[in-house]
Amino acid sequence: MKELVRQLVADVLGMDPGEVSDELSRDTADNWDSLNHLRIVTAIEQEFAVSLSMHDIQDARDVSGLAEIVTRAKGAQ
Amino acid sequence: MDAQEFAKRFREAASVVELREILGARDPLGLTAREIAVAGRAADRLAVPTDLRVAFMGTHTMAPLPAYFRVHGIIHGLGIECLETPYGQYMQQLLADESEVIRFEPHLVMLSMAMRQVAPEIHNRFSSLSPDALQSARERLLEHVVQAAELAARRTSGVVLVANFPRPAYPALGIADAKQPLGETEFYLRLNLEMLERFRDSDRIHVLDVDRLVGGYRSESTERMYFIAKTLWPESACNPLAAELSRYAIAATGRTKKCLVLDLDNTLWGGVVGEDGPRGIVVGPGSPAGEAYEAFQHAVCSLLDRGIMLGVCSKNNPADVQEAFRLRTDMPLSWDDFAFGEVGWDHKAAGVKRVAQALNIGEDSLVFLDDNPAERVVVRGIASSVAVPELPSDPADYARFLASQVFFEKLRVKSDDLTRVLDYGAQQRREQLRGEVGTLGQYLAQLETEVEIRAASKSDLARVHELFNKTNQFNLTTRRYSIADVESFTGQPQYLLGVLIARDRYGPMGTVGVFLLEAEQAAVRLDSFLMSCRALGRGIETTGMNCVKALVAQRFAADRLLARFVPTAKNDPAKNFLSEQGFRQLELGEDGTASYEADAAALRPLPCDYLKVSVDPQLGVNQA
Repeated sequence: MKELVRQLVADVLGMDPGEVSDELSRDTADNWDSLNHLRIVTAIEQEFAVSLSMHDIQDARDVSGLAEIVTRAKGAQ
Repeated sequence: MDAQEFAKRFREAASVVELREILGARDPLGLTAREIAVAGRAADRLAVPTDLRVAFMGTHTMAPLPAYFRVHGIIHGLGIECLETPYGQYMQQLLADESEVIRFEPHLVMLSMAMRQVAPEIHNRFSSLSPDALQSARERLLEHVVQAAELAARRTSGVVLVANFPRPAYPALGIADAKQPLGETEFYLRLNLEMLERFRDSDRIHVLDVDRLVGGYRSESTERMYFIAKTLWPESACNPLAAELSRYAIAATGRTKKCLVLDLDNTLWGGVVGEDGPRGIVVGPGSPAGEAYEAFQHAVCSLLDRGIMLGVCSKNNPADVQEAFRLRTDMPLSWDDFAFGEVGWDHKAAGVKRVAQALNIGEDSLVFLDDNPAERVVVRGIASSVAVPELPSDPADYARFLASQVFFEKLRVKSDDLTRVLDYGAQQRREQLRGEVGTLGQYLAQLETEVEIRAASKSDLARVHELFNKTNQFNLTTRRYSIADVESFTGQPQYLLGVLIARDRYGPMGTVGVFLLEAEQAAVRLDSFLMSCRALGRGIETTGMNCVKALVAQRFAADRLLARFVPTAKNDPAKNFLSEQGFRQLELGEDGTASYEADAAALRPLPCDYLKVSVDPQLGVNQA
């Protein structure tokens, strides 16, 4: 699952999936701004068929964080 | 293709054409956020050339709509460059001289205001407001919208799309809202209606019906994204919004298709007429399939009302098809509704090409619908400029599918459009006459063509704009002017924008030609001269030039007439026109661009005895 998150982040930010580490975050990636963050979130919601809360969206700041909120949302279904 | 594969193909796409092919396999309304992201990256990487600059301005964040529109544009063959101005700054941007949006020179401007930002009291506490307060709020809102839209129209030369206001999913007073003196739903309906009325007559400003477009997505939570990033629309509404923007882009750039070519068996009716017989084909009440085909035929008829021509391309015995239309008068469509029918056993690509030839229009003006995927592949492969959409497999979906297509959009349907559809039917009868009479001169005389030439007035502008943007073959300079340009020519004395209106014994042909003259000291420059191809070859272009010649001496009192021929892939028919009309060629550039000159004293009208010409006295010439 984390692999797909990694790919989605790569697709939105225009990176090679290999360059996207678990630690890549909104603070370290240049173009991971708030709009791209929302695009990543929407892509995740569509690909995993989950709905993420506003709190989760703001909380998740890196690839690991995104994978965590997806797991949580999946569990809540 | 799964999402993974799709993303991979995009990353590897090597050309814009390839990009379009990959996207062509997708329903634009079903594109996902991921697909938009990878397609957008691919477009960046391949540096898609810009056809259209689009400015997004609003009180809220317009993203991600521009990204969606860009990808939809690629599907429709349009390279779109977007500018999103900082939210809330549209008035400053439009007023300042050196602002981003003014320098950007947009072809299309989208303006969107969120009710929660421009009138928070309406959004937050509708039920606490008195009818008087609501009334004045509505007036104030309308004035603001009108002011901003008119400013955008004045300060840019683009087409302005102003978003209306989506009704709330849940009115504050619940179902009792409908019984209020001015309920919340009514407030929005009235405001949107007033916007519609206010801009109805404008050719530059159009109301984007966001209320209808996001309606289907109302139940979805959009608040989250608004609270986080001031984004107004749910992501899923961005596809229908982008599709609507594409409609305006297609209409404004003259990419409107002219003719729908239809297969018959299992497309226009159920069954095979050659096997089931005219009585056996399924269309009309009595069965669900019959109702579906009937509904589809009604949708096709509506295109006629839009001024779109119809053609047939069917593998059948012509007699069977004639018989079907003769006996099945219960069908909404009759044989006379079709401008041309190609019925035979040749392959469909050849048939479709013959329809284009018979109607004298480019293959890129055709849309072909066929239920058979194999035929679609053949036509796509051999007549690649014909648009061949993927008709759904269920006839129940045909009517809606056709209505949802973006190909046939016009900014305004004019009475002229309908005349022209009829005219193409008359064209067939003209061809028949040509077969019956002897010399070309005799034939032309029997057509009893009458041409009226006058300066363009305000009511001509939409059609003139259309001719500037759609005329490919007989067009000396192929200048694609915007509505604003066309408007400006009529207001300045150094310009003369002339129109040619024709009719013959078979009926009115409408406005078929346009010329634009610009006075430059002692010379007059022929900026544009173009003629709809269906009016060519019967002397109308010569009467137009005769009038131009008379204008140079008599209206402008100039010595010389300057003209140019700028070659394109399609305007070969106009190549020798200037020398035939007595111009001297001055220069011939490497790209084929030729400049010409003629002395006013030497300009002679060419005889066109078989036409009756009337020149408006206000043009200031004795005769043309």
